[in-house]
Amino acid sequence: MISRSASHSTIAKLALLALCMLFTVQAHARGEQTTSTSTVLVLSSTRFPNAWTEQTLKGIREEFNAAPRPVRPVYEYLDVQAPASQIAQSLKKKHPRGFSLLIATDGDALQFLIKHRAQIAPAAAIVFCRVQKFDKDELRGVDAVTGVVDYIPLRETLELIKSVHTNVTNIAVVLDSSTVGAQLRQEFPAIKRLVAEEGLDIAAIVDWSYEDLDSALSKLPAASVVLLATALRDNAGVARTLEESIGFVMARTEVPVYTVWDISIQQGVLGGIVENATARGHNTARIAARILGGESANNIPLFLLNSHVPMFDYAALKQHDVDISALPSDAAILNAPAKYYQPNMALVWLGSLVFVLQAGIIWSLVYNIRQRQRSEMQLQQSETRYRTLTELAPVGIFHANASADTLYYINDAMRKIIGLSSEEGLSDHGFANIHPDDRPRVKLAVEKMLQTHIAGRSEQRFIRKDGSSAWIVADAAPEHDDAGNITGLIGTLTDVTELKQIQADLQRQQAYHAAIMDTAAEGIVTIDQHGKVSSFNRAAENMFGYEAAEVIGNDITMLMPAPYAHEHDHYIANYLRTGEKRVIGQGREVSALHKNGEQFPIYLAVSEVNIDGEYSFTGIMRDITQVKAVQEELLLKNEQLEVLLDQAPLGITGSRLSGEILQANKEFCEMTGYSLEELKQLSMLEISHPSDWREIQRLTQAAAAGEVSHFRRTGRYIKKNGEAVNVDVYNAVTRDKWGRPHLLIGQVMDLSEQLQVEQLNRENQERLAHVGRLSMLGEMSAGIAHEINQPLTAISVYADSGMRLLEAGKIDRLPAVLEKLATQAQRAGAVIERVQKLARRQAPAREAIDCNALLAEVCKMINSDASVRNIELTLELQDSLPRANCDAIQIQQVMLNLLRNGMEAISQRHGSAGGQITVATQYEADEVRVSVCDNGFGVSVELAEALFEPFATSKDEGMGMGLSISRAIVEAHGGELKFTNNHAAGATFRFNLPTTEAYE
Amino acid sequence: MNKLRQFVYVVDDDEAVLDALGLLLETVDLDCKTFPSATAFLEAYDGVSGGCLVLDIRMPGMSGLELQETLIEKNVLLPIIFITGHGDIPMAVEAMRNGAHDFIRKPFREQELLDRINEALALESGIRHQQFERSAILRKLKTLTDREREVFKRVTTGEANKVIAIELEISERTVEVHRAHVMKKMAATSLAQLVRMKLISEVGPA
Repeated sequence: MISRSASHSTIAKLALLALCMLFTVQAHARGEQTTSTSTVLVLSSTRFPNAWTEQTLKGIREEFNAAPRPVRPVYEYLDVQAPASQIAQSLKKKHPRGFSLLIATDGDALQFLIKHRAQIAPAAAIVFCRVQKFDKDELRGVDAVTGVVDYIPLRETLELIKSVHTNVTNIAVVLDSSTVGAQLRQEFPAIKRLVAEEGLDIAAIVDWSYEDLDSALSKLPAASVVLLATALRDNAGVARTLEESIGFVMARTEVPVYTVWDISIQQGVLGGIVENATARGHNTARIAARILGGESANNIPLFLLNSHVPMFDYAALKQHDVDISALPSDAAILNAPAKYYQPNMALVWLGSLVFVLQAGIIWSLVYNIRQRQRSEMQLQQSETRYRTLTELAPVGIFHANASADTLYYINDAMRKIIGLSSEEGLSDHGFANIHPDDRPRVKLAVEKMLQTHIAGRSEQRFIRKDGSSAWIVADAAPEHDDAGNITGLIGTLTDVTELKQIQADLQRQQAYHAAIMDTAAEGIVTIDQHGKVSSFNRAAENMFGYEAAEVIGNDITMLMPAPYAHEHDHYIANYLRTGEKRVIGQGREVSALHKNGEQFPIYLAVSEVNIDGEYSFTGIMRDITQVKAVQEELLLKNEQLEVLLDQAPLGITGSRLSGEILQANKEFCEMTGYSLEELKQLSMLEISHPSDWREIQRLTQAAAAGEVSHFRRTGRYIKKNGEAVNVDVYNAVTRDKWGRPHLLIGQVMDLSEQLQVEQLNRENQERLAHVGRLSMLGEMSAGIAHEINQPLTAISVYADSGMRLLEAGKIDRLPAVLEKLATQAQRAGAVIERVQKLARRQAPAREAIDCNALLAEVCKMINSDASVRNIELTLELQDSLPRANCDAIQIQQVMLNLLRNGMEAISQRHGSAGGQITVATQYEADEVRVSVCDNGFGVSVELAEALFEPFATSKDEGMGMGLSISRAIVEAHGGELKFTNNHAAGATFRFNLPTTEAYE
Repeated sequence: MNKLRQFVYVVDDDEAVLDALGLLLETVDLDCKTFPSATAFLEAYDGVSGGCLVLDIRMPGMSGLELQETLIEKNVLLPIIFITGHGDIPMAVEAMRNGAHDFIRKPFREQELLDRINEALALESGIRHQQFERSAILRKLKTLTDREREVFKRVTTGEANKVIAIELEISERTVEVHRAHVMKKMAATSLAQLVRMKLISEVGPA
């Protein structure tokens, strides 16, 4: 009997040796590492208990670590739940450089590798190990496969039980419904036949549920032993871990429990002939090493492993009171107390010492291996993380073939996006379901990617299974093999349907806003906080003469005239810093600059928008050039009107119907002596004379009632200084927009001046009449003087001459001289007589006068003057003219005046060439008409109106009194004095006098 | 001195006054010619005969003032005595300004008129004499040589012989010879006479 600890000396020696070897091998390996390292895939199915698989891997790992050639094992797990093709793909992807060798640590892995070797590593041999019953046909026709075949030592364990527990009558073999269990169940009858003997009942507990197992175990008789072969899965498919299944059995029976698995020892199981997974790993790795060393796998036969050893747990042995001496000599007893290996202490210590001495070396040797292992672990972890991330990712993730028509893998998120439940397969939901319209585009994108090897993005609609479509964005990258060929596409998928919808909404909204902006009558300009124009609508284009494209992106100041343009940046900066608003939120008038350089006024309102701290400003502007012009014109008109009102010679007032004074012009203020401010405190009644009050009230009431639209009155105002002023007031009633009487507009004329003027006029007229009489006298005397001077001169000269003749004694000539002298004296006398005649008639008598005689007399008086002027006087007198009732002297004056005027007009026009005057009388309509017609220069238009006014004259020396007096005289006689300009030349003055007959 | 015959021309539109004046002038032995109008006078007058003109201001046709202007234009130097029955002061002023000899209002004292007429005749004869003398001097001046005329000018402005000699670059003796020739040709007996001749020759008749 060799106890487990007893073998330690050997193990220690071996270990020492191995370590020494390791050192050299490692050193050697290091040397070669750079030249060639074989990558070996070690694949294990996750279907088997971890601990079991780990034992196998441990053996492989140990063997590879000790291998003469550098080996890089890659440990992968075969997820039995994942599709095999997908795993193969992912392996391929994960290890694009492939493998030198493939190792399967169980049957599942072997089957997978055989099936997918071509894909993963077509040239690599497969080395496997397995414990399941092995059918040689399985490998028929499969090239380069070899490995270790193990079997489960069920019969050996039964034999062991028989030898250890001699008094046992019942052995219950627990076989479960797993693959291994099912296999053992098949083998069981044959084994039972081999082991069975009299008095020993060996039975298998099969096809159970855990409940069934529970009751079966509890019913076992006392002298029983349980061989727990497998209990990982019941017939209902309920699975337990190794520990759980052992715990389950141990809790339900007191009898010793045996096992066939070394990993089950130390879990409370008593013991058994157990298979050794580590040894299997070692053997497997050794075969692998041989193949890597150059041997052909086909030349290495399958290695049938027999590494089974009896193994016991010391605690369990004690518990069941098993005699250790009865155990097989080669049995290993785990956890045996120290006394059993006390005798070997020295050796152990020596080994330990050596071990410790070598520890540093070992550590350094192992370090890089550890490193490598760690990175493998990390890789493994990252693989796991990657898988988890993939499953958890909110975006769809896919893996497809290079032509993008077959999906290898998609995650849940993608399933959701393309409307595929988790049960459904991928076959009928490839990229063919892309919307037909988008398909060519996607195809193009894929082709491009295949050509360029550059990751790409495409956006397309995807038709879901239910017929609805989704907008998706696919980002895909090509997947390469070792040679750089594209083997597939991998990428993400994002559902942007909602985003698309929002985008579409946004675009619609933007279009809507753009439409509003473009149809807006106001110019709308948006700028950012740096003053750069970001939008410029059509109205603004028209206003400024720029195309939007010319302005957008440029500084807004290009639209401003010089002083503003320089200041604008400062304005914005100032506003952003201080928040002090100048234009924002309040409109104002500013100057703008047209493209053609002209400035024009605009009304500008600015609003600000603050999005995430970025300010932008929107200006809404209106061209107010015209408004401005109209305003200015209005202003000007207003001013003119004001000036007009203020300069008006009339007092003008605006008052309410209540009499309250609202407005008054300068003239009115001067008229009343009040200032405008004082007047505004007064009412019309207050400044009116009390005697006018009643009338004013009556008139304003009528106006208020709408009975009159205007009225006129004369009255008096009381001035500020208490004086009364006579006024003529014209009031007009204005109406408000509802047509109701509203205000009284008054035009007030100060009559005091007018009254004074009238008074003056009267006085002037009297004065004029006087002057007229005087001047008439003067003219007459001048005429008389001339008439008399001539004969007097002649008389005087004749007389003097007569004297001289007498002195000279020439008496004979005297009679003739004296006669001439007498004639001249008579001539002078006649003149005096005429004058006397005129003077005599100065009595204001109205008598029946023959106008013809009167005219003849006047003509005689002016005859000499007329001849001097070379004027021909023609009389056209009507015969038997009725007598007119008049003052002869006065009418003679009128006639004389008209004749002199005519003569002077002729002289002025023709000078000494003279002219003609025709004096005519006529009887018509009971009146005598007298006309004096000359061919002088007529009456000028300027003079015509004022001709009869005093002092109106066309003569250089005249006083202008004659006609005014003449008219007064004629009118005093009930007649009229008029004139007309002649058609050819000169003027005709006419007057008429009532005849005696008509008069009486 | 050439004694020319002088006439008193009377123009008046008043027949009686004209007749009376003609009679008056006849009585004092003055040669008289009467005209009833200005135009009649202009037609009759030869333009050179001496005498004076008695003229009524106011007349039909051409007035007295107009006749005066016409005569001035024709350079007729007859002194004019205006008579008027009107006493128009502005007319009188204008007449005097135009160089009338006098202006007399009707009715006038006959002796006053006659005095004015005599004055005017004397004046007219004086002017004539001066004109005659001047033309004689000018005639004599034309007989001088250029050198003599030059010496005449300088002598009459008071230059001494010596100065004249230097300025004309001739000898003083030669100046004296020229001067003697000038005195002889101009029929002057003294420097004073020579100077007077020069003044008359330069200043036209008044």
